[in-house]
Amino acid sequence: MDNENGEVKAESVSAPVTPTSKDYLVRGCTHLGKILSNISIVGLLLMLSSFFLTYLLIAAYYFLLILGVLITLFLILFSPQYRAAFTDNAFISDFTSFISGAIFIIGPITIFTSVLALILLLIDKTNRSKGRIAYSATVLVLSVLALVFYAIFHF
Amino acid sequence: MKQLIIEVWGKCKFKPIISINGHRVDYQTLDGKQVIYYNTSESAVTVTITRILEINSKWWFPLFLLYAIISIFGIFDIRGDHKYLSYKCSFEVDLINSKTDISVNLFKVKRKGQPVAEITGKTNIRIIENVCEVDKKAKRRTIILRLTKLLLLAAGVAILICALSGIF
Repeated sequence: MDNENGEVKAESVSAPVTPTSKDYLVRGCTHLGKILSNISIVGLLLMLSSFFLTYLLIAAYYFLLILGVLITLFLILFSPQYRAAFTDNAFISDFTSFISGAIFIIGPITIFTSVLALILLLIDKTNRSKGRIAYSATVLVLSVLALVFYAIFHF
Repeated sequence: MKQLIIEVWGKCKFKPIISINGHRVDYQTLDGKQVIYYNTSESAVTVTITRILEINSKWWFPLFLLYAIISIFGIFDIRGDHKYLSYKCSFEVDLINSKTDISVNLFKVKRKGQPVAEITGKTNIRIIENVCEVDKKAKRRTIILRLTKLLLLAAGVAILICALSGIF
């Protein structure tokens, strides 16, 4: 548009469009969904790490004891302290109950946040955050499975 | 009647508002791509790209405070979202054929002065403006928000120390 009138027209039509309150609402929902998705990922990591930590600790405990057996095979046969260490696992049971308590608190929070994140992320149809939706869905499935398996093994 | 088809893609986190000749147009999804269809009898149209700055909303302060609290002082907040950079992008497209395809590759906003998008197509495209610029209102609000977050963090740490030392 070379003439003067054309320039005026070009300027008026190129004026930016003001976002509506619906735009801001959708953006807010997506933002909140992403925050909740981050929290749920951390929740799942905490769940899984505590889940494995329990068994790792038990494994490490018995590994050290077996190491002790190998090194001091003679002592284990005659020392009552070593024999007691094999039979007394109060520490392990205390730790396991603490971890299971933590899992039963973190688990539902993780499931709740991932469900909420999924709902909020699905509101925005234009900016479909596919990666985030996939993360949240995976976190939801894994946390439900972890909670169910832990409940089955624990009770 | 002529049809303009704009394919919008790129690395930007949120799709901007696109208006053609001052009228806002909606995105449509075609094979997983975000496409805009615009029918007109004119021989040339002006396309404008506007970024939605969340911090410019009416309820920005309580909203961002809520985000800060939920995300535990921003630990779980999303990163790399430059809240105060706005788009200044508009271009004219000549509609020569009955169907005109153009592609808009939106860049990730990092600093002021960088181009907003790369516009390509088999038609005449005249760029009027294509640059990121600082939205002063948004920047002022971002600074206020950072100060508030710092104050919140300081208050949180003070409460924690008092609680641990048995003052409460």
